[in-house]
Amino acid sequence: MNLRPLPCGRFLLALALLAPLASAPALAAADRDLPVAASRSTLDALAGRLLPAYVFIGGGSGVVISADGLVLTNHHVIDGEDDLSIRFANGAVRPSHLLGTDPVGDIALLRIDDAHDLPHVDLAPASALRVGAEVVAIGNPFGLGNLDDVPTLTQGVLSTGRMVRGDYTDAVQGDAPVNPGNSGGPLFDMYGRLLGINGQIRTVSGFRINSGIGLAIASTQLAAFVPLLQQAQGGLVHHTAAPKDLELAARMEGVVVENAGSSSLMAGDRLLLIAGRPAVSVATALGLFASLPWVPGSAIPVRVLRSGEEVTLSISPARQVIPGRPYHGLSITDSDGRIVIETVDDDSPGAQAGVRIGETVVSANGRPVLRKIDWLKAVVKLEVGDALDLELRAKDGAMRTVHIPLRRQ
Amino acid sequence: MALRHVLFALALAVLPAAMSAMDAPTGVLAIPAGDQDEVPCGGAAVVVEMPGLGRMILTLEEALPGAGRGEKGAARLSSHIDLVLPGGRRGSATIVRRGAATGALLLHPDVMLDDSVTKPLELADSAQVHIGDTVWTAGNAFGALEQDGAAAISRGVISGLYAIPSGSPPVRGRGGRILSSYRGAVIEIDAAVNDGNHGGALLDGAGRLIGLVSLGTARERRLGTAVPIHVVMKDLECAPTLAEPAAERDPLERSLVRAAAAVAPAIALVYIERPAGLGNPEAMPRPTRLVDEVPAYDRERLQNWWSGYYHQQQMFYTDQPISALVIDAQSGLLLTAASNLHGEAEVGSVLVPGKAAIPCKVLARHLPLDLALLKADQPLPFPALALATDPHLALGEPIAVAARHIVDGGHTMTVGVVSATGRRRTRNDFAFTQTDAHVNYGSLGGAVVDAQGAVVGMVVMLGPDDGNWPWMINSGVGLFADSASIARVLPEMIAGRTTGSAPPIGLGVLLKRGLAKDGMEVESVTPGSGADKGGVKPGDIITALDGLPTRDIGAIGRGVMKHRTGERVALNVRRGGETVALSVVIGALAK
Repeated sequence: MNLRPLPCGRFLLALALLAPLASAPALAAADRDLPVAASRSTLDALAGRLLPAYVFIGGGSGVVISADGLVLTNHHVIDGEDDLSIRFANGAVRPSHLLGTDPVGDIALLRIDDAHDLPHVDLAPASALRVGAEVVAIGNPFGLGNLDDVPTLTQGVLSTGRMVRGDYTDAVQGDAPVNPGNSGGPLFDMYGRLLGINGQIRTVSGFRINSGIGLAIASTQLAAFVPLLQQAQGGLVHHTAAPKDLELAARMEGVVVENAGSSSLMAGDRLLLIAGRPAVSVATALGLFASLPWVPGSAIPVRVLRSGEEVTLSISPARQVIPGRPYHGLSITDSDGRIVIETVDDDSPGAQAGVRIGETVVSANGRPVLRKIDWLKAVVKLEVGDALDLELRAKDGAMRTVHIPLRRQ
Repeated sequence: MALRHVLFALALAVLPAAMSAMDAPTGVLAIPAGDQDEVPCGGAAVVVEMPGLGRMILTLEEALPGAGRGEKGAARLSSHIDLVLPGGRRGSATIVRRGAATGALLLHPDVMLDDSVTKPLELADSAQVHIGDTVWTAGNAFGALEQDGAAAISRGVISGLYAIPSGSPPVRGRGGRILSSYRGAVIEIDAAVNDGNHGGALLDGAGRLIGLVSLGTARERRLGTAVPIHVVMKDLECAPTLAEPAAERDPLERSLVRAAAAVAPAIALVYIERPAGLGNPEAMPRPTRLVDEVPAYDRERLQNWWSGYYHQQQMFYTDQPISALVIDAQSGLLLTAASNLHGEAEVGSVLVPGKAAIPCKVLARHLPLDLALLKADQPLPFPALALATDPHLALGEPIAVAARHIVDGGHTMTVGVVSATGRRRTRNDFAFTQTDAHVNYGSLGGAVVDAQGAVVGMVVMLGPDDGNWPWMINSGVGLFADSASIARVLPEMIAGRTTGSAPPIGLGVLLKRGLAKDGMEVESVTPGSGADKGGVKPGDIITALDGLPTRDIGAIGRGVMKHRTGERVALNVRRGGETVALSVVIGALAK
């Protein structure tokens, strides 16, 4: 892709992740239903309402978004963590399990086991994500709360409206101080609505401390991804991506298609809106193509200026690759003309799906497995987030199928 | 609710709360970085109306492509500058005038700057601004304007008004890159200033331009600054009409501004003689040559070394005078943060504007609270401040940090809220209060005031407990010792007694690691401890503390940390087949 280098990609950008040295959520009331805005003075009461929904997770933070225990945090907070226990600010510790995670967009959804009637917060509507709005962040900066269970509350304003920053394709920027340990924690407006999940800071100092630039994954993106995360059965969800071979260029008048690639766009189209958001720069346009959850048959509405007329097209996005090597944890061997499972790694996706040593692989993802090469052909094209469906025959001849979601090794 | 809080709530109900919301101003443009620039992003510029010249653009030389490459690079700067306009369109401008004193540039746009795309900023008289005024930065921070088509904004207050002295070395970033060579009058602010803000707007509370944001900083403050617009205009020989700056503030912030100004005369500046090591630049290694002068083959190695050196010198250690609170002028007593002394200093001198400095010595330290008491040889010509006996420090309570870093200059002030209360840093009886107001070397030892004008604490501990690695500088994670805690230990400090460390507190049990599933097994009980007196026996499994399950040792530790010596905790203990409820007094443990 004709990707003009991002201005921020060149040198020493400490794109610091904030983890330390580690039922569908309700949407809140529309703005018009709310009283006139609050200010610093009402923080006391607001904090009392929000703190019960805040949780410590590992070295980071999270927030409860439903009475039955849905918890949002960052993917990078729980990535590689065995212990998903959640600690409330009153010191109560509860076990939880992973429902689904989005490694690209950096959101993970957990559920607290056997939870009901929990204090929780609502997601803010898009109208609340406006520049200048007062915000409050709650987190565990520098892990200070690990000794005393006391979370940290910081205040600021939104520095931007919804925008794109690298993989954070639907994000807001705030100047409330956030530091390592704020990761996964909530950013609220002064009505206590969840504006976003804090996940990154931008700094050139090389030190992972607040620079007044905190990036949070916007509530609009959370709302779009939570339903898929809920259904992911502990697996991964994908993002969309710009159509293959699409090339864009920045011109005086705006962002223009140079090469439409595999899409139904045309060279010379000027991009106006992608998924309803303005395509103000090449980086933003590419980011907007990647801002939605991918499902088979996904379509992105794109408004373009073509030969002087505005046209809205429905573009089929690509599926974004989740970086990393896909991992199933199985190895096979050829035994008397049969392909049998030779080893199953402990706690691997294969082991979790119940695959046992010595079982014969009959087919993989619908294709018969007769020789080693068949197995290799079946697994070589799989990516992180894909699944390996195996037909297995046990030693006693019983047939069964297993579904193995591949995760990152 | 206390009476003053009822009154306060009433006042807020009557007065309309000043709205903070501000749209991103369209009078701010981006200057993209040059292809050769080793920077994260380009700078910013502002659109103004100049009498006789029409619609013009202002920026600082440091924001131009190539400017970061050092003083020699500045000579190669192009006179034709590319611009990104709000909404993502592109344009360009030509430099027509350069201010010799400030490096400010006046540019003539090459394209029509239509009101629908970019609306010129009104100018306000920066000579009339005050400490504590609400301000906003608007710029191209990390390429925001280039990517989003709109400036990123940040809110803060004017935290200092002073001059960066002539003869100061240029302010350098990582790798030795020169960020700013400007010396002269600045408006210091606690709003966000990052790469990409330079050359952009500093706006007053009404959105009018009062300065051009610079990456220059005072060494001990490390907060963003702006060149005041009246200084820029004089330097560029322009004489536009400057409106009166917006003085309107949130009534609460107005109270904080008054409180900080009232306490400021009682904040002295003390020069500490540091015999060696931290805080004494003579004892620190120095680069042999400037990075810019090194042959190319050796530059990378030296740059790496330099960046480490730079951060040690410019961020971690300072040889500057420190803030100290005058608590008894007649007896010459001053209170500051013990970490300000870097462990070794014993003598110093209290700086007095226009007069000879008064020698002082360290009378006592209280390390658990990071306090140091200084005694001057003579009575101090400053008023003393009174520490609030009953500080009200609720979560979210607005506070200001007042300090001083230039002897004959004004005070400094940053604003924030109480971020956390009862913050423990070690397992002893001493708790701190946390604030999101920016604190730095220039405010360590400064006073924390509330909106009612009470001195509720003093800024301490700019980082982990040894005080030597202050990663919390301007991080929005600042700690202060509350005035009541200070008052409790002050008598012994005045008597000259130093407290090196405080004993850890706990139940008085030794726990086995990770055997029982539902609790922690007691291996032994310290004779005479709270646990002993409360009836805890070896072999007991502690299953809950204050009603919360104790499945790991951390849960017991955190449970204890919600208390102080003498307070009782409720333990649930499994002994044999039955559960026993015990009450145990928290006590000091042997070190």
